[in-house]
Amino acid sequence: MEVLIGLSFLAVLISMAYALMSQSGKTSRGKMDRVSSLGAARRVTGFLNQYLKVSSKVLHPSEGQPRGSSYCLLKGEDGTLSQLYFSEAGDFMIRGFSEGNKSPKMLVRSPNKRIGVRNPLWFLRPGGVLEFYIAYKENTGNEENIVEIFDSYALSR
Amino acid sequence: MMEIVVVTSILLVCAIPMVHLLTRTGRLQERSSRSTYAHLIARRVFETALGLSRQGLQAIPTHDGFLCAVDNKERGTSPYFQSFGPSLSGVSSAEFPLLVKALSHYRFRFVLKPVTGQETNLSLRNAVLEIHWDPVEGKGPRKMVLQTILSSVPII
Repeated sequence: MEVLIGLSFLAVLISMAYALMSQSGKTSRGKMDRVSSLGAARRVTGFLNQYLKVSSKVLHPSEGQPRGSSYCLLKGEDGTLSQLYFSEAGDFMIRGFSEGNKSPKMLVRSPNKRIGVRNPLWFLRPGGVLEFYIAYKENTGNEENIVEIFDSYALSR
Repeated sequence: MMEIVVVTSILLVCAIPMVHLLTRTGRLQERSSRSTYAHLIARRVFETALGLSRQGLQAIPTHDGFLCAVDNKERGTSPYFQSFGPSLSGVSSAEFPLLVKALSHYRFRFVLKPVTGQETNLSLRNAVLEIHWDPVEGKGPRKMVLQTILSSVPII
């Protein structure tokens, strides 16, 4: 009887390990990655909105760049310059150019090492509307996109 | 033997709510995702309209019919999504494969109505956006109506 119970537990453990490694397990991880990427992307748009509110002008990209730019340069109401960009690790960063504020600061960390950022783009459209697009991708395997998100901001008059 | 049967039965009974919980979580996540994209559509429409309002309210495109955010020959594509991304050619599956899939659930209309009590004031309009989307497995929210005041002169 003890052998039977032991074998049953062993079978349950093996089946659980198999479930984790199987396609359905990978799908679950994919779903979790999607949820965390969507959360990170929403935080990025939140920060972007917050910094645009206190900016007087967007210096880069300009309307003459229809294909967009991988970073955004803002001029604050106090005249300071701030660059918003993504690091190679996929973290959303800000770098100030005022005196005593030159070191980059991380605003949103990449969800995890399995996830990277693909093609973050800022566009300045006619009418003073800043558009933003970003995709989070798998860092391993086929590098498929996990989440794609966009946002728009009408700049102050 | 009896003990094993009892333990197995208890385990099975306990597993039922776990399975239900896991499947429900997936549905809730999908509903949350639908709501997120509905808000992103709303932000794109309102922010673009706000930007264009500087050129006068007549410069703001409106459509009384429900149009889609992605290419749709049957319903038509909203002007707010006809120039999207670096190629300015709309949300295409070649450039934005996931966005095409995510936005295909939505259709919306955008109209400018007179502001109550200010009907004769042509520089002031109530912008109304109504977004409909396919609910997840036939359940959950399926529409959202948002409105804001737009003016051709800055409102302090």
